[in-house]
Amino acid sequence: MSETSPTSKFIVLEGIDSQALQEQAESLYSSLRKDRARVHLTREPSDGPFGSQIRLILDGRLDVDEATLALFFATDRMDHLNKRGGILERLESGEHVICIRYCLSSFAYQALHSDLKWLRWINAECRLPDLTFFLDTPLDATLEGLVKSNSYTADELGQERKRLGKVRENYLMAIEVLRVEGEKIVVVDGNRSAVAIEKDIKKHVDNLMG
Amino acid sequence: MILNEGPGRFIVIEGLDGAGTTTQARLLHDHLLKATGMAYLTQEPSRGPAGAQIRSILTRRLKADRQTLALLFATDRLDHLYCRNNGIAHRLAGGWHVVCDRYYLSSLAYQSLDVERRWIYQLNYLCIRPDLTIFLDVPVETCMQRITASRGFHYELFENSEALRMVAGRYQEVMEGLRPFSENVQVVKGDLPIERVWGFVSKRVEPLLGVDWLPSQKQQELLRSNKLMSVFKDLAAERENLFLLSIRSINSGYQALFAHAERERPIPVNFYTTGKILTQGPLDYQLKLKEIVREVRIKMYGRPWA
Repeated sequence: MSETSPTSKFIVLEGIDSQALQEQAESLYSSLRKDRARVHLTREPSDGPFGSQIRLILDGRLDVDEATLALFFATDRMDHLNKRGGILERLESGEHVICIRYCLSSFAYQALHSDLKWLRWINAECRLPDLTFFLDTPLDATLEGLVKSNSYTADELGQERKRLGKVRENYLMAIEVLRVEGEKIVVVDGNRSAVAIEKDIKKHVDNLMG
Repeated sequence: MILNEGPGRFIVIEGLDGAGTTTQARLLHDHLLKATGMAYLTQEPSRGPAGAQIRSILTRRLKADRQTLALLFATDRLDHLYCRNNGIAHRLAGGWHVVCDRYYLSSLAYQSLDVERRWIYQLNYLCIRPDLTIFLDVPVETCMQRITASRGFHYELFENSEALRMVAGRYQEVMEGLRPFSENVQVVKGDLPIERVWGFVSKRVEPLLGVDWLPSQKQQELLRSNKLMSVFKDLAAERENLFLLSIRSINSGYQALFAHAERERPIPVNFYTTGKILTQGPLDYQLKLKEIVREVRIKMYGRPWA
């Protein structure tokens, strides 16, 4: 993966609870803004042409093979980084970037169907984050949130529980590997109030910014 | 890369833009269709969602960087191979011979102008290896003349003689590099009249299809005897043992039957029972095979049709 830039920071939020990730990213964004920092908040899949294909696939409207989906994610990620006004350009211009989900999401979700070694290959040209947070939310709380916005049968709920449990395991496994390679990843206990989590994250980010 | 296990053969035509890959791919497809009844012609970028985006990038309508383009080509290729309704993998498994105009050699040559070749190889790691890749060798000057005359839009991004010259060099390197990995790449002289090039191409394809294969004396006897019939009936009776035998591809059908009869052990058999069955071969073999097909159909479906 490519080298990091000294001034501005690339911060990634990961986890199984998208709702919580969104909330935490937004509060980090506004608190950095309050500190008068130039900061950009973005997410994967991106709003670009490949991100919109991914959304069609995730909605079940466009049917593709699992490995194809993994490559779509890698394509969208590269475009998200390299496009005009993309992550790399913003970082170079001195802006901080907060991104909800990044390579680690592929290593957790796409690893349900594809080999981790291959997933790492296809993402090998992506810039490393300066700091990644893994928001470790309890499975029950995550599922509760999902039930509110989707109608699940008991059977489907059971399957989703199993799937998310596996995704969490994949996350923890990949984090261990990436840490050995020197990536900075903080596992945040998600079984606390949103405010407590916010404070925890902000503390780590402040340390990073120096 | 993944091996092609289908009964169908997977043949790729490669070359610089303007080398005539599209023309030769079409001729090969038509030939295979006539000879075997099951051929499928396709090209890269595919007609799928990622292929459409690649075309927009190559014609400079959609802006994307070269790394993203390399990833998108790999995405399109996997989709082309494995998409559920009519992916190449499903065609091959169903006994279709697939002819593809450009494949991963194109990525290794064209995309490696901008990104590391090893990475392109890794992106394409889950692709099915073709049974045969034919590279049409045409000088860059001839390609440029042909491109200028026809203004094909496919590789506008690379359509200048300097870029083409570099791509030509990459193709040579890639073919050298793949040789130790038992990739079957054959170079054919391509700057000749279409019919002559086709003559070379068809010669390279023949061994793959066993088109020149004729039954030996012993095999002819076996075919005429009822022994083969009974062996086949046994096979049909155990339906779980029926896997792959493309009877449409008449020569490989013969070969499979004889191989089985000679070895006296089950071979994968899968019956394609729609459409025309026999289009060539000596009349008595045709009749005999028709009889066998009829018998097996009755075993499988309880009636002499699919």
